[in-house]
Amino acid sequence: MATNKRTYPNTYFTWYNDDNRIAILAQDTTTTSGERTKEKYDTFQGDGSSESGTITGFTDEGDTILAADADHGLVTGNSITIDSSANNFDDTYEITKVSKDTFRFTDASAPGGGETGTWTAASTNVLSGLRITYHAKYEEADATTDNLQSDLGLDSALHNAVVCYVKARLYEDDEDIEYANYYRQMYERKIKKFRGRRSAVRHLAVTRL
Amino acid sequence: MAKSMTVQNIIDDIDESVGAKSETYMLRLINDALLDIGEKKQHYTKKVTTDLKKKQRWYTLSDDMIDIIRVEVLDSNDRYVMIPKLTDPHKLLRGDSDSNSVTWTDSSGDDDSLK
Repeated sequence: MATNKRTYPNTYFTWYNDDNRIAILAQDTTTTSGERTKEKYDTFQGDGSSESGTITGFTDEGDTILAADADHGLVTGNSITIDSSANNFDDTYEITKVSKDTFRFTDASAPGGGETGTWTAASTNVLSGLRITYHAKYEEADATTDNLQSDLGLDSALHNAVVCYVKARLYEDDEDIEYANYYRQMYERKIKKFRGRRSAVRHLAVTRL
Repeated sequence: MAKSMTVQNIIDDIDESVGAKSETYMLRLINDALLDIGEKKQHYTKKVTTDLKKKQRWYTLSDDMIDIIRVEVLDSNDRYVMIPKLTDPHKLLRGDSDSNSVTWTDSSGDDDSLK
């Protein structure tokens, strides 16, 4: 099964897209899988955390409990169901990861002496587990008070290009082709000259000592 | 440094040089300009996140997306790590029909991804 591989996502995950959707695949390394597909990549089958674990101790922190489980594999936001030896924490909790060996959950009960337990992951998803960075269209202007930079995301160096574009279109409407062409060329020139400073490559020159 | 403009500034500029036009039409032309610039320059980027879901292959993309720059998965150390694009999916996919839509949320936190 394609599961529990988020520790090495560069190796195990891949993506592709069509016009409207993106597909996320995880490598299927199990040769004896009973799934319908035996392809190298398959749909992600698990939430990335261990499906169960053993809690070796509970520490009372007042309103919260610190649970110890070496290499638990959980992340903040995971939902787990605990079965504790003294039945003080037999419930489902949303946990906060403290370290790779401990996590915290909210419960005002005090643990019994030497109380231990087991947990199972109730979550089927990795919360905010997928992030995409993309080139976007600018925000749409819908009010005259909209600021082209702060509201719509357009770099201030391109604001005059918008003016030129609008003028070109208006002169086209008036069938004044000479002015329309003039502003269209102005617009194209401004667009061509613009270099996004955030994407520009910066070089740090270090003097030879 | 270029001065930031509002839609009203552009309308005023047009009023002076070309003549008064309706506000609705001006907004449409400005939005056309923004669309054209966005396609040509592609320097406006956004980040969105969603849950990585069990047994879900397809995630619906937003309409404001022009092209994808990078895709990252949250690893078990709580870090976003870039994953590669599959170059030849046609050989791997045989009639998948998972098509659940997904709600994306803006991701404006610090970039903690591995470079």
